Amino acid sequence: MTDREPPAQSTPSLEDVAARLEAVQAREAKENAGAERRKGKAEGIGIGMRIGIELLASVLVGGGLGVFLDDKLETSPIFLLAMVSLGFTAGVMNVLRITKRMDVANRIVHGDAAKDAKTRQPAPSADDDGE
Amino acid sequence: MPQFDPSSFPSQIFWLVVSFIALYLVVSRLAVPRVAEVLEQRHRLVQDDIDRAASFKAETDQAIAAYEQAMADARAQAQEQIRIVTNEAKAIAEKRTAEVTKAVNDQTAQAEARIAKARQDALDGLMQVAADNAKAVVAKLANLTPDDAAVQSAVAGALKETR
Amino acid sequence: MEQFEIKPLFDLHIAGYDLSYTNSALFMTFAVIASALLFWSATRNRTMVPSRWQSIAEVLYEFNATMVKDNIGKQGLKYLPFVFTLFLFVLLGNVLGLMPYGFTITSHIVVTATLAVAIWVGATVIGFSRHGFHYFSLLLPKGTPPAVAPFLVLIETMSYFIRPVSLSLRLFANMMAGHVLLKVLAGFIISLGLLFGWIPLIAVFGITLLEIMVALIQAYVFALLTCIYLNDAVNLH
Repeated sequence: MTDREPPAQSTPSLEDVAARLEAVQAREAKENAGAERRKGKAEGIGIGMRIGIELLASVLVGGGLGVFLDDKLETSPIFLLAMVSLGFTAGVMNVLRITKRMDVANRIVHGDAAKDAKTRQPAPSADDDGE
Repeated sequence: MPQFDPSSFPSQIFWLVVSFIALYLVVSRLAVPRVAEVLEQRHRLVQDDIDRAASFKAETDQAIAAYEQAMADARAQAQEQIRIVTNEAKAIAEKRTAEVTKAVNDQTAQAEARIAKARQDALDGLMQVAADNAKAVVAKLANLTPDDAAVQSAVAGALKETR
Repeated sequence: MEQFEIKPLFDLHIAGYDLSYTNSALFMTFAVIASALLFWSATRNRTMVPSRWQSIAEVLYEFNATMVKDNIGKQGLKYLPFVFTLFLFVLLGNVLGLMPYGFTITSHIVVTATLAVAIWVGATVIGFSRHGFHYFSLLLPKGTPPAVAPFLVLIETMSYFIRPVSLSLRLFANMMAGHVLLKVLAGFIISLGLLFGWIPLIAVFGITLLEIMVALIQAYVFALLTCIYLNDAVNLH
């Protein structure tokens, strides 16, 4: 007795094709979400490296500016003190801004990542049609 | 620290500018357009394939729907046809039955009428014969010529009794 | 420190300036040649299924393109060649210095400062040419109460001028510190001899891996901050 029926693989059923097509489309969507997560992680690392230097640079700029003004106006050390404190304040504010960004990045990387990706999926975002 | 020796600054800045411009040319003329092109091509290819598969699937779905619709239509049409034909046949049959019944009834009625008439004729004939006989009998026996009407009513009365 | 020494290879004096071709210039040339070779060989026969070099080129491109798009938006893509160049230059400048006999061009404050100032001036010029006088509103965050506004403008102005300093200082400090640490530990290997030399050897190995990470991250941070500054200039708030 010969089996006349073709093997199941050679002619996939319509359901097979539909399922595979759906899987591919889902993967495309997931890849976009994945890129978003990766970005959040890398940004977290990058921003963490900024904090120390930010304060140092702020005080340096303040000090330099203060010394320059004192030298010109012969008001030493008024402008030095004023500018260093102003620079330090600016530095602290920048650090606060950085940590706020890092919080956002961390939220994307950890915990809420899956939820974020899920809620983001249905709403087509304006700038991911490029890929 | 050699980093803070200003004598090397002009040279570093000069070569930095030169090499940065060179690298910018490499990136903007070679790297970016070519890589962007190949990525764009690949993306288009993949998207095209997915789109085509999706459109094929839509076509298939459509074909299946059309086939099912056609099947349903055909079935409905056939049923309608059957209904019409059945009705027609039924109507014809009924008409024929009615005709035949009518013909049979007519003929029966005719036959009955004929029978009744024949019977009446026979009865009338019988009465005439009986009356004639009775008259003859009376004339022979009593030498009387009875009244026709009297004889006939007497015969009718006698017939009624025998009946 | 010997590893940071600038050594002239060919003398070149123009208009009274010493523009000699030095070991620093040599490694800048290496960076350009390495990039050119990478992209030339990667894109010579472009295929739909990429070869190894093509994959590297594509990953680098995608990384930069994503960074630019995420931070500046679609219209920022016209600055992609610049950001990409910056990223490659800093990355190769960092990494080439980790090789034996290498020289780290980004461990010199002049180099990082020139890049940072160029970026800062460029972003400022773009900001003013796009928004005109309105670009000053960058210095006053939205929703500031009028009472503290002058103080905040002062601080924000200060922040704006701090940008190139922190940008250049960060790269310079990271590159120099890593290399000094490696150098010192490498010195320990020799001075401790065969008996205990393996302790710093392991440390050197670990720190070299760490330095490769730092080289990558610093190149990324440099390009990322460039994108953030360009975003301020292009999109204002």
